[in-house]
Amino acid sequence: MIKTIFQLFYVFFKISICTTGGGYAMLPMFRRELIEKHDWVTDDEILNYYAIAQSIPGIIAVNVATFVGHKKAGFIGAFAAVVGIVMPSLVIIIIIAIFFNKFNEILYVQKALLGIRIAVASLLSVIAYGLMMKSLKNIFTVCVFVAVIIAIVVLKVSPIYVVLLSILAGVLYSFADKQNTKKQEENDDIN
Amino acid sequence: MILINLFFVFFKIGLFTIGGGLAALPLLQEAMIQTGWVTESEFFSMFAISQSTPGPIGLNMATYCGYKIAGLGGAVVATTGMITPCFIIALIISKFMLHIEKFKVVQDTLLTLRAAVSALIVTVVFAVFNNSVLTGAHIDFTSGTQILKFALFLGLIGMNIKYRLHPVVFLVIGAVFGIVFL
Repeated sequence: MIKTIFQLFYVFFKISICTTGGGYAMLPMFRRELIEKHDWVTDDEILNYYAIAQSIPGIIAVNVATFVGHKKAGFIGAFAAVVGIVMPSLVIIIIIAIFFNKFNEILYVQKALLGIRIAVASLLSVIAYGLMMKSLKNIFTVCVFVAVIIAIVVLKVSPIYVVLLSILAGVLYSFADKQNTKKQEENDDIN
Repeated sequence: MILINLFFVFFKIGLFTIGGGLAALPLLQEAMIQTGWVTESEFFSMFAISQSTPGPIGLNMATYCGYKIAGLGGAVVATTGMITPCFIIALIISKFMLHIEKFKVVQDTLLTLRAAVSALIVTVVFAVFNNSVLTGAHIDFTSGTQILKFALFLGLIGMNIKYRLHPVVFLVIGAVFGIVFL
């Protein structure tokens, strides 16, 4: 048990320290560490966690860490995973904040950061493409996808409303689908 | 006193951030700049650093703002405040997830949410792309730097698809490329 808790801290610490560019950029690290290396969760579970992490308040990485930590070792596991995620930010940013002015004067630092940002953009593109292909399972989900893109890019709707409306759409879809299935079953009975 | 205040300001930001750290940006901007805690130019250099250093962007921003406002204690309190609401809510969800997951309505809602989330991520990709590869408002193919940036972007995508390397490898390549060519 203590070993699991320490492992949770260590793995999430590693994920956090190896990821630049926020929670979305963490997905490949999550996959590699949690699915391929440790077999703690399945691919579907990670996608579910991401979907839920998106729809509840908070930072995605912290939410995912809480879910995985809780699944493996309850409350203490969740706490250890979250501390692991938070620690690198806290330590590195405090050091940078202390030296920020000098740090930013170095030309090579500015140039390296520019290149890193482009690398983050390319990593994100591949993740986004993978997620898109996996999440678009029927016409309904394609409609949702297109509607969300339009809502965010063109109409500038807050992501909060987008998520709340998606939940509503999901519930309505579920009921519509249920009635369709019922009708089909009735037709089958008649035949 | 300032620490208690800081905790609640960041607790509120954490509570209303839905969709990850990038969604916290407008909330942070409002709380930090309008209170006069941080200047606007300071705020945007903070964001650039938060995006380029390890760790989730939202946490980096919270630590940074907290440090600026109240030093070391401020950094710890702001970060703790930011993660407390999501930790509590995520714990409650974890407790009941196993039970609610079996209902058809929950499965359908997750199916819908997944499509919505992947669309949200695509829009984040647009933003990050604009912020890194384009930097300017328009594409300028006569600029050598612009072409180099595109080359790096596309090259890394190609490498990512062909060889499934560790994400850190791509960041290191980006950093070296930046130092040498940009």
